[in-house]
Amino acid sequence: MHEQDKFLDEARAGSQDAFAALYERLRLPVFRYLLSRTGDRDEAEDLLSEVFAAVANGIRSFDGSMDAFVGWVFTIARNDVADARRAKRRQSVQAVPDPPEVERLPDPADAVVDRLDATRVQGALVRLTDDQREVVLMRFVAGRTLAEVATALGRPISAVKSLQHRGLAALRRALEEET
Amino acid sequence: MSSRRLAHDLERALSGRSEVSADLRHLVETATLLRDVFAAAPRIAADVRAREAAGAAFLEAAIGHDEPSTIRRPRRAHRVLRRALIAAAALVLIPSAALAAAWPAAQRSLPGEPLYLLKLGVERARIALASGEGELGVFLDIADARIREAERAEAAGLFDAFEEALRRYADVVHAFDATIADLGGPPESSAPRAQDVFEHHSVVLTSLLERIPDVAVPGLRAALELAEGHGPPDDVPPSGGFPTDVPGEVGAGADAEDSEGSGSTVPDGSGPPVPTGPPPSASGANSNEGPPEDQGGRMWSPPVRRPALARGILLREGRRDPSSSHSGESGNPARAGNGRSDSPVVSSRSKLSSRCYRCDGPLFGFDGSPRAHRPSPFPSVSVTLSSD
Repeated sequence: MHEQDKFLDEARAGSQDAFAALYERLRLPVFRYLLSRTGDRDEAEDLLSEVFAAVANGIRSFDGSMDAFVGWVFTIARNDVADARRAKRRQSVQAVPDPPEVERLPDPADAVVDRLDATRVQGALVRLTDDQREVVLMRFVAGRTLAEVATALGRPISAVKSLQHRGLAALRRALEEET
Repeated sequence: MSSRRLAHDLERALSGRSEVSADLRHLVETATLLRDVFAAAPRIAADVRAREAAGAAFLEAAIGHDEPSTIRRPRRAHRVLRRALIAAAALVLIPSAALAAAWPAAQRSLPGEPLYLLKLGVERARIALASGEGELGVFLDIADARIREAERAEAAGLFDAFEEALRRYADVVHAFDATIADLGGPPESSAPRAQDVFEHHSVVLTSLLERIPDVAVPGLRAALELAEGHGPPDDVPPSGGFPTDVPGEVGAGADAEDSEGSGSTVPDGSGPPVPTGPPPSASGANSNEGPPEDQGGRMWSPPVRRPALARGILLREGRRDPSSSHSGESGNPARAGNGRSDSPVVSSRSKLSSRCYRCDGPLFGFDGSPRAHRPSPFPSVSVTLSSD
């Protein structure tokens, strides 16, 4: 049995150790996906907590392979992002500006360049269809396999491959048009 | 070429199973850009929060109850059942053989480290297993552990972990207060140890205030205010030296972490105290003011004078410690001169949360007794008039 599958089985059986190992494996991919979807580090960090709390709550009733588990985790992440967006839209009328944070004070030059890149890519991603965006972010930002993405989106692998190709092409065009 | 074929070739190129052809190169570059742009990691404090939330949810799922991610008090009606369930789940989940082996390292772990979750889980189990005054003792142990973590994080230059430890310290102190409220007031038998512990925390935190970078000061100030708000009241006469009678009550938890040698162990009867903060005599306390006062069978250690926060700030700013002339005691000429009344002005009806609106200091000590009004933590301006 694959080690990750073993962790999954043990976590389902109630091992906190095994669950911690799964968290360790997935925290960065999930965080990066959340960051790419929200464009906001604070929000992505908050959502990271919510996603894994939901995973912890439901893992005992989850039944499937490791690929399916990862897909399920990303489905939770997608839903959480969508919920957060809806909540933000509702609250946008009464939005109060955040107090300035120390971490948002002047960055080194390279960080500024990184941020500009992120903003540019974020703007280009908006021009993809929802499915294309989900595929390219899960594949390249979160580093998930085709099978995992297919499970998360409930689409066949061949469809994910096509969405990946069309999504990257659309993103490339959008980036070229922005520059 | 069909789009299906292109998609297949792209996947092969992306996975390194085939050469990247000229017509696919720009797509592979786009994929690489996408990966690099978002190659970030959560900050350590956020990672810790996520781990804790997940750990708490996992524990909760094991027993079918909602265990919050931070230390909070459930409603009284559910507490007995919850205690039994959480304790049972913790005992099943936590002390596995593998975890037992990891426990010594977990005890020394700092916020953000992999084993910290285990440490928090065990603490949560201890809270669940304790009740009444015993629970207060556990909270004091945990608060003490957070202070030691802050010290070690500061020494290691890990300021994310430092701030996280202090944030958790505040959580524990608030939970401690909530337990007192549940008990209907502070039990007399616990007061001396609590005052000792918080007084020690004030000393440690004041010494840290001089060493940390400016960005970490607000969190430390908040923790210091909390510690001072729970320390011995100002109007208790200081003793002539270190306590001659250490308390026998150690609380539920003088656990193995106390032996980790951080040098900040609270005087709890398990060994000689080795405070890392400035020696009490440097705090400006007048050691000859009166005889040691017996409180519940033990003596006070020399109290830290109230303006510890102000003193720390002044030391950070390279100014002279004014405690000798601005000690915060009633009748101090320096204070009389600024026109302030020594009578605290109550801004809230709750004793546990009452704060003076002038200096924002607590109006009541741990034992419920009123505290002397403190001067503002901001240094006052003194003007010397020439006799000419």
